[in-house]
Amino acid sequence: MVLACAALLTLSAAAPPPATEPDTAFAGHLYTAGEWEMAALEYMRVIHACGDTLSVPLPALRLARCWQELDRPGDALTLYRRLSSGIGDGDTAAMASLGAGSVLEGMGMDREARGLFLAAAAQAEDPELEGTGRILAALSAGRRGDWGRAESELEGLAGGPVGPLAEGLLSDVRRAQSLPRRSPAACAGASALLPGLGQTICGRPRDGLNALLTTAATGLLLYHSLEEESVAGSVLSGWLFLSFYGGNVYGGYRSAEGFNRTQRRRLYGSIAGRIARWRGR
Amino acid sequence: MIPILLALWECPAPGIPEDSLAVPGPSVALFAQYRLVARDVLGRRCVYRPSCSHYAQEAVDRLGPLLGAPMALERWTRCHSAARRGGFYPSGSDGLLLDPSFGSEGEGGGRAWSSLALPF
Repeated sequence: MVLACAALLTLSAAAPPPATEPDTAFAGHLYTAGEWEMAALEYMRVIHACGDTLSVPLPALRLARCWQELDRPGDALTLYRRLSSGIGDGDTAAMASLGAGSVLEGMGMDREARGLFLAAAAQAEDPELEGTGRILAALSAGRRGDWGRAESELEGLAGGPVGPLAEGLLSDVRRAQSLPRRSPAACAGASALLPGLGQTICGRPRDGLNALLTTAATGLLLYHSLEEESVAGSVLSGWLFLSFYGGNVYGGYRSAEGFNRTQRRRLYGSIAGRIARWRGR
Repeated sequence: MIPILLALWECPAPGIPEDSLAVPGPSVALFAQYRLVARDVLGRRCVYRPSCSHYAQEAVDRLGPLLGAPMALERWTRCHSAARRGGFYPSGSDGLLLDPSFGSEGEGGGRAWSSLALPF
């Protein structure tokens, strides 16, 4: 890694200054291969050689994307915003807005991300780019829980340049509206009534059986301690019983949350896979 | 004896940062001893990451023994080989199931899907 960087710097120092267009073939190879750190270094070299970020927008966009992948959202967002505000309208500004929106989405700021995706759609001149912005805006609405709005927006895009992707995503969005869900409070209550019931309802029967057996065993221990009028034994077994019982109730709650999270994870994975296949990634 | 020790351990005051320089309490030594016996001598391996002993240690450190013990015991009842079925927990790179004591293990693969749609 260190040797590669040294070789890179030596080559770049020996290379003549760019005449018109900078040579980004090497950086492009690294970028396509997912070598984000090396690609970022190379794009920074290109931008430095050209002197101005706005004069080489595509390398700048790719540099911002590299920073995203390297978990540097602040730097990526700053560069996207600079490109978006510096270039004004057009496809490059739209791509910068899309990038900024994706950074915010990764930070969980779905409402702000949706605004940027819609702005990208408004700025774009290329119909496919506009469609991409609208699709991402629709999905952001769904992520915030409004899958009905996402469905209606995707239906409006079905016949356009991003039609195949929109139609594929419609099936995921419709599935999202009828996603199975478990109430954490109800499952906790079920476990309180019958130890292990909440876990079983959430599709974890083995966890439920373990909770039932441990709660029953410690309950029996407490009962025997009380029968024998042993104070120390009653205190110890009482603490054990309450701990297992309380843990069982918490387990019912947590099982429901885990169930809901698993359903969302599968849905989001399906959506991400569909987008990646459409983009050829 | 162990439950009494845990019961006598004071609940941590709110607002103490996790990386404070306060001297770690008896729970650290307790769980270290447990790991020495369970992991190194008996050779037991937890299916989760963090392991049940780390999970319990964090629960007791954050919530105190009264609230931490139920959490720890609940995790212990879930630690079995059948936990891998159904995709309930995401798998880490080491094959262990991700189940943090506080917070979520993440959704949707952890990456915004919009970054996959970027046209550059």
